[in-house]
Amino acid sequence: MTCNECKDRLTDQWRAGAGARDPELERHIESCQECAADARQLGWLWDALGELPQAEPRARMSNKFYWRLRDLERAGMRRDAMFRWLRSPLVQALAACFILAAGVALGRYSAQRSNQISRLEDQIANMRQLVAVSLLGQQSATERLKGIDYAQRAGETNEKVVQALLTAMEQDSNVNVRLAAVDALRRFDELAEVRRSLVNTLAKQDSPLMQIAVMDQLVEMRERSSAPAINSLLHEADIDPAVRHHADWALKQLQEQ
Amino acid sequence: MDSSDAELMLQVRRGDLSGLAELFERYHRPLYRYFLHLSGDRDLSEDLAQESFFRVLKHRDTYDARRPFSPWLYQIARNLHMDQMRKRKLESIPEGHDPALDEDDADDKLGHRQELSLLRRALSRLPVEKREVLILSRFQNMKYEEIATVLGCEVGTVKTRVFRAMRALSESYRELSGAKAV
Repeated sequence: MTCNECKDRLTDQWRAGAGARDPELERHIESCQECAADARQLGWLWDALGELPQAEPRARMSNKFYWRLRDLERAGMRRDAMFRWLRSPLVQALAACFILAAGVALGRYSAQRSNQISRLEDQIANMRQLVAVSLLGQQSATERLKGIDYAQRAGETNEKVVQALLTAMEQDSNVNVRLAAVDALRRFDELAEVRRSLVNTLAKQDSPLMQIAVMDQLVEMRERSSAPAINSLLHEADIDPAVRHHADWALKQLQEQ
Repeated sequence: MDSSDAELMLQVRRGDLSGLAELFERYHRPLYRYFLHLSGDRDLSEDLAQESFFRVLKHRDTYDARRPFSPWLYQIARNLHMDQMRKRKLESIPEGHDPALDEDDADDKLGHRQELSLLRRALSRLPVEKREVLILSRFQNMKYEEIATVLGCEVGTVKTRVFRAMRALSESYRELSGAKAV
């Protein structure tokens, strides 16, 4: 046994009392003067500590405690007790059921509302499509531009609207209407018919503005099949310099894509 | 049959203050002595002892019923005492203050009485952490495991601290008794 172990064992022995025997500890103490001195002196002190009289609290301490406890009971704890019923498992289960039912009802109500709103939105989109087709057939270019605006704001893809826009792009007498139609067709660029019409219309358009707008659209759509049409435009004798420049750029873009 | 400490604490948790009153009856004396040994001030010790029980009430929801109650109570008491020390910046008990011996009129052996008085003074001169570990182990009869919980350390550390505190007490006692061998 080392002296350090001896210290731990000494504290154990003091606590165990005078009757407790630890032969190993006793053998160490017999062979180590320093530990023997500790055992004797500190052991005496430990016993003496046990003889120190222990003070008793005065009665007023208990009195003060119980007064305060009574005050507390009257005030705070009573209030607490008022809400104790909330902690009851039955109440909590009922509250959970109520919240669940309210959640389901609210969900159903909002789903109904959502369906109504969805139906209204569909109706508005259909109206817009009808108005768009109708306006695109008007004499006035301004009305036809309005029609294109309606077509852009119409919801789902509608065949009549797409056909009206394609007709406007190819046949409208007013270049502004044709340009607006090209812009409006951007929404439908996933339709094969729209892509094919844009490629075909390039040779038919005589306005440099339209030629440039259609080429921009084809590059944006990454329509590589439009390269021959652009190339033939490039070889036209009376091509506008700005269109030639743009056609060069468009071909390079399509080759890089 | 008496309720266990944990059962009483469950009553307190439910808002039944009779549980707290029963715990007070069980623990207010040792708790008072714990504070008295630490501070040497009777009024303060009485106040802190009763305040400890109101802290128990305040923190009742943090009590873990699977663990023994007494170390948890002493942790509360210890924190209370440390708060008090920070306020007062006191560590050692004023010398010569001997509240328990003042009461002990029955002891007519003057020599022994003087020895005990000297021992109490020696104890009061120890730094608070040494005094505290002796109070818990000698006067509160707490197990080393419980003391370790109160002090927040290992059991082995508690034993070492107890031994060192005893040595410091021996030196303090020797100084007071005029360097006579104990």
